[in-house]
Amino acid sequence: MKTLPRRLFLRNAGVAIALPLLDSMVTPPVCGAAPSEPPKRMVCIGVPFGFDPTAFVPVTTGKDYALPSHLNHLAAYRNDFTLISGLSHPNTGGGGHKAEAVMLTGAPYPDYSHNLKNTISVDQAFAMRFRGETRYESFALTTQGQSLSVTANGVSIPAMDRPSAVFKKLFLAATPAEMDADLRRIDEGRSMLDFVRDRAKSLNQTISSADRQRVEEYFESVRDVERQLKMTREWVNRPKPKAIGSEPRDISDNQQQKAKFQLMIDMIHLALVTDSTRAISLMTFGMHHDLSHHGKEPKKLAACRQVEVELIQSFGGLLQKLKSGNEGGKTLLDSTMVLLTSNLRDGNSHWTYNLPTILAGGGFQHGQHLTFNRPYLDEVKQELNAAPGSKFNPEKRIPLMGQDQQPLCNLYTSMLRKGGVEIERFSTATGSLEGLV
Amino acid sequence: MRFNMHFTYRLLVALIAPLAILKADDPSNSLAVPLGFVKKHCADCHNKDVSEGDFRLDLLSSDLKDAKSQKFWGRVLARVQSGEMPPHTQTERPKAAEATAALAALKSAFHKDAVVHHGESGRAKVRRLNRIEYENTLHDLLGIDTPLRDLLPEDDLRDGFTNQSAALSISPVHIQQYMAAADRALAAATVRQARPETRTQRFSYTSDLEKSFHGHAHNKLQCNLRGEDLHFFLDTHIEVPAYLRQFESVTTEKPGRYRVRITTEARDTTDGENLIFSVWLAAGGKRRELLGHFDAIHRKETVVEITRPFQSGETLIVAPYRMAKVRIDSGYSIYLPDKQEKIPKGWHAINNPNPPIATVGPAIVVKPLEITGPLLENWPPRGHVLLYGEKSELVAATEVAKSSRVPDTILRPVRGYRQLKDPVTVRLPSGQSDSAIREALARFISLAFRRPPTGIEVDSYADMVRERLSKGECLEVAFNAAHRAVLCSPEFLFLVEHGPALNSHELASRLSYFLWRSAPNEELRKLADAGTLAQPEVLRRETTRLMNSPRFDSFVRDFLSQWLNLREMDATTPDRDLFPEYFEAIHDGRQDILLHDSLVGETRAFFRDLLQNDLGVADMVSARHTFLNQRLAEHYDLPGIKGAELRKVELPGDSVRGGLLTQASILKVTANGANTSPVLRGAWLLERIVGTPVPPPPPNAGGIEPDTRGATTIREQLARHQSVKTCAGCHQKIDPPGFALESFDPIGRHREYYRTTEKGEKLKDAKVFYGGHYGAVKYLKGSQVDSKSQLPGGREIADVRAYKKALAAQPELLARCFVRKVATFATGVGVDLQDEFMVDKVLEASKPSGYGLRTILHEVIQNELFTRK
Repeated sequence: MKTLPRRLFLRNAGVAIALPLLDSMVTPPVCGAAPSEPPKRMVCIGVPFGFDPTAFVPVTTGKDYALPSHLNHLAAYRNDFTLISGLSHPNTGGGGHKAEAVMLTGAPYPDYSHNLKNTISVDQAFAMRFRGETRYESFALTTQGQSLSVTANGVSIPAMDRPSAVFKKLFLAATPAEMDADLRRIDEGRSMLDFVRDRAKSLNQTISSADRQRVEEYFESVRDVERQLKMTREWVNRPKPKAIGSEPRDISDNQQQKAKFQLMIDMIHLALVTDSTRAISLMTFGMHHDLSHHGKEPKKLAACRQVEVELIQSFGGLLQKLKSGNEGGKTLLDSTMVLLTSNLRDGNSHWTYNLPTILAGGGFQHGQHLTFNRPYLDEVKQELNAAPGSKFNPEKRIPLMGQDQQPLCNLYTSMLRKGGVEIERFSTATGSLEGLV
Repeated sequence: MRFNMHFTYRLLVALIAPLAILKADDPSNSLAVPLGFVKKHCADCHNKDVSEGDFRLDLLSSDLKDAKSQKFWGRVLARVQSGEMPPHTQTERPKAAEATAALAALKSAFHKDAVVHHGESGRAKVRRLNRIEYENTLHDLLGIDTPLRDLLPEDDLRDGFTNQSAALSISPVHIQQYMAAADRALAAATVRQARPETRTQRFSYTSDLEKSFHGHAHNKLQCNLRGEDLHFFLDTHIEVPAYLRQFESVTTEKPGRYRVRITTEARDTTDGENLIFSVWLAAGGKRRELLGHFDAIHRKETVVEITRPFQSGETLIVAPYRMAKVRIDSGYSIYLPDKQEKIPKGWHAINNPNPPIATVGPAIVVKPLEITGPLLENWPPRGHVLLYGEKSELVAATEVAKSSRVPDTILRPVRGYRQLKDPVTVRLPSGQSDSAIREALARFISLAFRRPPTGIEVDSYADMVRERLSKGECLEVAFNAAHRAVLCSPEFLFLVEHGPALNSHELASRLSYFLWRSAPNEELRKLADAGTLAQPEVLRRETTRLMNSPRFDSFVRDFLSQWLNLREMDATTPDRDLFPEYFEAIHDGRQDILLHDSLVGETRAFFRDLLQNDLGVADMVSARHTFLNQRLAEHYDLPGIKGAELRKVELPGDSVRGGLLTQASILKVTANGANTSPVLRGAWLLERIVGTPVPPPPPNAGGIEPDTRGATTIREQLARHQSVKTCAGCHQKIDPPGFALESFDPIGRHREYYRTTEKGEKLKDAKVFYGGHYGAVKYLKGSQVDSKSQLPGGREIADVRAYKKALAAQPELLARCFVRKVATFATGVGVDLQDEFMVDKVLEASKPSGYGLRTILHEVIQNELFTRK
């Protein structure tokens, strides 16, 4: 039996901090079974305004693709991520910013009336697989209010926006009296839910059949919460890990996007190393809307790119943190799928196809640029090569799904499968993502 | 003989009539007229040779039960009604009467089909309260003002509305959060301490607690004390100095309703004009919510009185508005105390022993504040009595703990970071418990469920209480178990209706949630209990009463935020370089809140006025009046309006303003902060005002990639659109109204040229106030705006004035759209073609008033759309 290292060290601003045990290290493998693999995790980071394609999209493909200017900031992790171009959600053409809501779900968003019937987000589909295995089923995080996570029946899950609150969830230990109160509260909750579930049943007998569907939905939701409470109850008596570092100070100034993102990255990292949860979503970097509408004016475009660079650099910081943790001879990044994507190609075009997509870690073979839309790369190339001062604005070519565009949900399907979720197709996927192993 | 003949004739008619009705009841027959119309006017083009896709009208059947034929008939109805079909180019257009007759018959057939199809289920499906309704309902039920909506997930939209049954799903997240919200609400309504003393206190800025800013020698140029009065000469840092620390500690201890009296005056303005200040709700040293902008009157002490709830730790900020501008405009320096020219060396250095103190120039004087509270109508408060019953009494929690289990939250309650002294809890006098518990619960359930409870219902909740009491829990805990269950039960969370006609309690709820956005109040409930509400005259009287109440403001606010999409007012921030006017301080990106607030304020005041005075839909789009204050008038380049308050103003004859379309709020929500798009504005207008929405763009249609480097205008870019056949069909409808609105920029200012930062003419003389100083604008003069456009049918128009005039000339079109929107909002379900028959009835009844908005609301409520499920 292989002994897992009892301590992990991470370099956090040059300071080495002792880490508590990962759950997977203390769970003894079943007798005779092979040493357990570290569990899979998923981190989905969404940004609302995409990236300037000329700075983000490589014009060459394969293993030896040339890094475009933005990705130069990730050069150190070149072999830890795959850049994928030519992905989008079918039928989100009219969505624009509204399509933020479907970034991780792929639900169709077809018109200006915004009659959205959302569906489950990929992080939640993944989280369900680990229900009860970790203290928290998932974390929906945000630095700006909106949430990316969506329940199975299409309701947006409110996201936590205060790093200090995340920290407390992770580490703040309850006193015995509080634990006792917690248990009481949970038991009261369960008995109350049991009661209202019956109310729903009797209500259903008095209303018309067309009305029953909603009440059924209520009924199912109540049952689901009952199950959750049952599992929460089991976690109440288990001690939380010892705090790493001290409670962070929240940043209230929304303009400090980079600092806010980095603070959340620290929290994501802590949540993962303590195995408090395995599914995390984060919506971030939504304060440069005016810059994203740069109209290709050089000054504004430069300012917009600078914001994007800060974002990419911070993202690199997350990869670095995950890479430096060691778990059973592997890095935390090896077990963590980290997605960075957007609902827009870039803010200026407002186009909802050719979505910028990076997948890092998670045990995939990385280090390549996968494209499903070569003409798009040519467009970017032409624009890059245009003489300075010339106003080259390439002809708009609407890609055709299946021809020069693949569903982003194909990638989500691959991620879910890698994470051990047995699934044929997620949402609008046609299968798993070709070329991603 | 003559008389007899006549009589016979009438008899005959009487005998035959029922047969005729019977015949008309068969939808296939009632479609005879429309079918004839289609064969005559439509089938020549929509046939196998010419028709796009399979829209074959030559094969159209008269069977509405067939899904495809129903869909096609729907298309016929929509296109013929809007006048779009048959096309204007066709030489032989049908006569108006012919089209009207065909449409009427078609609508009637649709309606009859729907009545059969819906049966008892009706149009509307059971729906849950959305989070605003949820919060309003609990606030009213328990007499509390603790925020609750922040706990609940945001509601999805359907057709722009947040209260639509089809979009209001319920998830495990909701259930969890309803549990948390119920706990928060119950805690807020439950008395924890003895009655707090209501006191009137005077808070002076001379207190040491308040001195951290204005007491500092180097800030005395901005504000300083004279006696007890704080004088503002300049804007200060936004959070200080008038963050009233003394009051903060009062609310921390005793949150509740307080009446605040703020006395101010203006001094030494150039022409004796008044100045403006704002009042904010604040906490933790920061602004939280704007309470309003007010006038400081020159040389006259004036009191602003605000009565509102303050949560624990909340206080007020009083802040001057644009004082630096006022000071510079009247010739003073913002660096020096008076009008001297040169700044002495080292004047502002931190080590200057005599830093500048402003003593002359315009100033806002804030006197000590007088605050009274907490204001208590009853003790114990209404919500507490509702929860625990008339018979319960308050005793020391320690006393109750002797005989039952009292949890820590009651025994040692904490508010903020403080432990409350001498906590109390409820107890029932011995021997009375059983009946008292039942009584209290019956009343609570009855109000929470918005209908009388059944005996079995009360029993089942009372059992919950008894069971906990028998286990030794204290009364409050036992009661709360039942309360929580009531507030999480489907009968509270859902608006349950039984068809086909609503019963009086269901009707009361519909009416109240429509007009007050909350559960029925006592008066309405009495009428529901008496069963008289469904009588048309009673319903009309109640509608009037609800509309005349200040609480009708909730309707104005919610309906406008959804119908006109004003909910997106904060969605985009205007570009600082292009639209510096929108900012109070450009360096930190702080928007001019007075302006921002007045934008929405104008639209609300305008709409409220239309409703109060029953003005018609023509006025809605092209009124000759609007509501302005000083800042908004400045924004619109209309001189002569002073003061912070919005008031009704007659517009000059040639003004482009007047009516919803040219209000800055609308122009802002239809732009993205940097550019305008005729497509977005056109689509907004067709969808929300004209009522002829265009179908969604085809899958994966993008927008135009904006290129404002000056190469092409938006018009040129869109021209391509119109030349591509697949795009043109819709864009010919969307773009023209959008073009007419091109003469307004993203912040709703009227413009003749585009602003750009890239390539254009330098505007040497254009200056703008940047918060602390006047400076040259950073934008350049770009190309001319072209607001020429055309009406459906092709007539060329010069600008938005002509467009508005043309719209106002079609009141029925506008009224139809408005009725649909109102009915959608009122019933929680979209109004579709099957309901057009009913919409026509509303239109018919409101036509004599010139489609007055108030009349329309009345007629929607009287209509079966509203009174039936």
